[in-house]
Amino acid sequence: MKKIRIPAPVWTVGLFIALLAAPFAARSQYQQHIMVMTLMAAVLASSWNIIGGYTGYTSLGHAAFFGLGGYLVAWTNNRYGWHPFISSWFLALVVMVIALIMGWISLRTQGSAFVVVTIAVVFIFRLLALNLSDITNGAKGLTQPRPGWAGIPWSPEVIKIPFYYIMLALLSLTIFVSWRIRQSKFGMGLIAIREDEGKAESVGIDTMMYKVLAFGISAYFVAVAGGIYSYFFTFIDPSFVFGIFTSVTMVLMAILGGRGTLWGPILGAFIMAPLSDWIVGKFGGSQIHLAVFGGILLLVMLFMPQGILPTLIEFLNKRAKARNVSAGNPS
Amino acid sequence: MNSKIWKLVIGIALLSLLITACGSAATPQAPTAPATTAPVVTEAPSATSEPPIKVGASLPLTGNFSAPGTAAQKGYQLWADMVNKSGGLLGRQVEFVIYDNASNPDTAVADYERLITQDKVDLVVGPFSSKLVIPTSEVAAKYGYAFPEPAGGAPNVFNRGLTNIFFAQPAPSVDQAIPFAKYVLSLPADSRPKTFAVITGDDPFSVSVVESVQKLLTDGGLTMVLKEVYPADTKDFSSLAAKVADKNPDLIIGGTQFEDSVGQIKAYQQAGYQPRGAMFTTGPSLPKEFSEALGTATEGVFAPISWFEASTIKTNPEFVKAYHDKYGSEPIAEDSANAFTVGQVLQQAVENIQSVDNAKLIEEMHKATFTTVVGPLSFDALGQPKGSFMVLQWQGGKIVIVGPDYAKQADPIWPKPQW
Amino acid sequence: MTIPSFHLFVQTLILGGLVGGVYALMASGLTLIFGVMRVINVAHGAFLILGAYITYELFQYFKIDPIASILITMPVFFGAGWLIQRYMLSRIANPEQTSVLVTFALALVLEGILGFIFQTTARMVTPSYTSDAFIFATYRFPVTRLIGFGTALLIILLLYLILQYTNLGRAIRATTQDPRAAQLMGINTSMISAFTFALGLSTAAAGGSLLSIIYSFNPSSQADWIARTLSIIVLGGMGSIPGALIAALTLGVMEQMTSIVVTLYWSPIVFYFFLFFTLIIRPQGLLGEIIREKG
Repeated sequence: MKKIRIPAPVWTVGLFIALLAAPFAARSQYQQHIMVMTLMAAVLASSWNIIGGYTGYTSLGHAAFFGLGGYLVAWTNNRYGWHPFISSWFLALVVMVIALIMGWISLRTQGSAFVVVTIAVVFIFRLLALNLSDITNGAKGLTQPRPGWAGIPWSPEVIKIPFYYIMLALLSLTIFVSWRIRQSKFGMGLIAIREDEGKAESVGIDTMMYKVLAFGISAYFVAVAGGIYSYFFTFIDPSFVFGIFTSVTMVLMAILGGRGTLWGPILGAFIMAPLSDWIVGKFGGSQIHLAVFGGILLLVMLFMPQGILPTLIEFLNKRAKARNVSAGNPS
Repeated sequence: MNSKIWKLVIGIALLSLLITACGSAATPQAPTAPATTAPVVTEAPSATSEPPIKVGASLPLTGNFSAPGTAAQKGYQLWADMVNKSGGLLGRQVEFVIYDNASNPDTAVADYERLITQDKVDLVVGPFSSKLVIPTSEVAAKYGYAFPEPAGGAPNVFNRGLTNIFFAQPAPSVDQAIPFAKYVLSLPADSRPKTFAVITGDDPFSVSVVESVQKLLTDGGLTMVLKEVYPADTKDFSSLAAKVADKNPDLIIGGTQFEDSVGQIKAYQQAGYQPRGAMFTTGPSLPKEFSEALGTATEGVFAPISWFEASTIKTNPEFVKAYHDKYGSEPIAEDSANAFTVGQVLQQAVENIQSVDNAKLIEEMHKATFTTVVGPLSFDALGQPKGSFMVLQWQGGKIVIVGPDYAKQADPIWPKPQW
Repeated sequence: MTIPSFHLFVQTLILGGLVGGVYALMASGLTLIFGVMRVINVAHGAFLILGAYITYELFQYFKIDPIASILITMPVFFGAGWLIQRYMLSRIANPEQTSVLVTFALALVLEGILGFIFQTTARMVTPSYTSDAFIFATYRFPVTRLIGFGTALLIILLLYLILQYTNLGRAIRATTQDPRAAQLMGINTSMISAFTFALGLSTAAAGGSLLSIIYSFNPSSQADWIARTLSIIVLGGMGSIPGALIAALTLGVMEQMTSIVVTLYWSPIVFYFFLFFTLIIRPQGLLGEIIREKG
């Protein structure tokens, strides 16, 4: 029997249409809420993957860029009335510049020391957010007016819809950029750094420049997502956005799906975000939630360090090969 | 090969969207409760065939505010039990849906979204502490829900132009310590303190309480020798205590939750600082935990309080008895009483208008006066209550009300014994 | 910004130094483990808190003095460390890259379980001497901190003696310097790894007991502690115990000093800035050697 192969573009279009229609299949605003959060998780994981996956530098500092994006957007919205749907995109460039500086310092260290330094980055920004209360309102957090356009707030029945589509647009862009990077010479350089940094340097790759750039690009999308997020919740406070757990979630999603692959982090996000919501609803916000997250991460690291996607592909390939062999036509 | 990845990703993406979308269709959502805590869904013999009235709340059952959060849960639960025992609300049973937000504002916001749009609760009541009330009240306002709440009295709860908030304590936080400040200023000149220090955690509630005390005392002629605001989760108070001891003020004003009130006092003991008077905003009001943590060092410590167990005010004796029947003989925390008050306000408003229509409820709550365990309660246009707080002091290992005169159980001790 | 009086300045120096000693003990195990195994044990903070809880329970139910309970917790943690290394960490293919995440996951699981068992109420062990202070020329030495400092130094000294003068210690040091050569010399490096990890965790047990009388703690405090101790060992140079000692004392004093001169709010941040600027000048930390990853 001949298998019918559906070409990739058809799948792409199918997925895209499904994603476009999804919010209308939701039965409540809360389900739309979860969909927005899932898309956001996919943006974060996919963006983290550029430095954490392609380059192999495990950053636990990305929560800082998420929070920075959020705070900048909230602050400029309150003070100057800049609409977050527009300002998120260019305020994230400011965050990117900060990330380039942070990267320039922290990427001097390698391996484990790098992880520690990026943790320190999150703590620094958290403390700054708590201390610079003229801008950030300190521990009280910043609220924003109810989302709307041109002064007219969106009605609560449809309020999630614009967020859904802007997040979808951001996700598409993130995936596109991530894909282009992978195809490019720059991406090859990043992977070379992951495989063997010394060797990469010896063949003439400016490793520092590559790493810092990847760090900055990766921070950009995270910051845009942070900006939209702060408007979505109309509230932002230091304890969550500048929390290590926010960073760990990104890492977990990327690793679960398959770090360093284009689609793995997306897959991880689509599994973890709804799961996380389910756990919080069922068992409450801490303890069990934490233990389950940690447990999944632990199991993945020990038994499936490559992540779901690469493991699965390996498995499928092996099976295909086995079938071919048994059918007598080794390829 | 590439298309394989595609199919897989798309398949899973579609599946997870499908699951999200149909989640509630597949499993008829019984209001879920945190499994680790006491059963929250009220099971009571249903007298009528009408569906229950669902009341939603998100509480900090774990995390920094877990002690008051759990106490508030008891108050809510007790109220629902008492209502159900006496035939329900509008003849319908009351059913609580409670989520645990782990003291995390973001989770709390998502919880209220879920309660209102997914669980479709009829009414919502507030979480604990201003920090969580501020963002969650926005959610309630967005969907037009009335938001009576037991513990969010900071100025920026009320100054954001919302009309759906009702703070069910006798006074907003800026006014809570006025009776204490008045007491200090009423002391005879020779024993009145001359200097004071304000040491407060960075929490909207604590800061607003102590800053109003600070103003009253300064206006009354006292000198503030030190003011420090520290991060809310500070564990090490030794350097702060050394700093306070160095200035040696007569009176110490602590803006605290439970844990930092204990932390501060222990550090003062080590630093050898012995003030003549001490007040902490929250902490001393927890009857059990405070003395367990500090032993005899509690003696003479002051705090503002909204409610006390021995009060004979209308409905309070019934509440106290029902509480002990349900939860045992341990002393009742103020926060349980405050949560119970929220229930009383909600109940009377619903009964007054014979409906659970939130727009009408908001209107009614602005107009009516409610009979509650903290006394008659009414709200101004911003939802601020119009009553006043009392002053408690620890005497002989117990909480005693020492002012104002109408509630007084004993005379205050001044200066306080050494800790 | 306030300029402290001389008396307050010295008093702060004392408080900072005393705390620094305890920090040093907490960080020493972490840096030792890294030196030998190239593994950063992010779960170290969670183990500190676990140690603190065990001490708390022993004190509550059996009235065992928190310092005495070190004699119980240390061997228990030693055993646990051995098992964790043998059955979990040794499975990791590429420790330098992935150990952080594995131990991070372990920390989350531990925090979750601790939260489930002990709830989140902050605890503190309060033996009778909690609020006492030893007074020397008007300067106050809180008894709990003095005991903490003394015990910490004693254990660090013990650690130093083991490393310096026993065969096992020599083997550990040889493995730190060059694992491959050590193996060729007939050292059973996997045994050494297990032993080191066990040793490192038992310092966490002692650190936890000391922590429990000085600070209040709950399961989520582990994040504070791991951030502190990690910063100490990065600053001191990863793998260097003397470096950790210097960095810990620096941190202790800087923290307290900042809270006196500026406010408590700024005390952790000053340290992280210091950490950052040190790294700009010396990426390997104060006393660290440049570690080149091998391909």
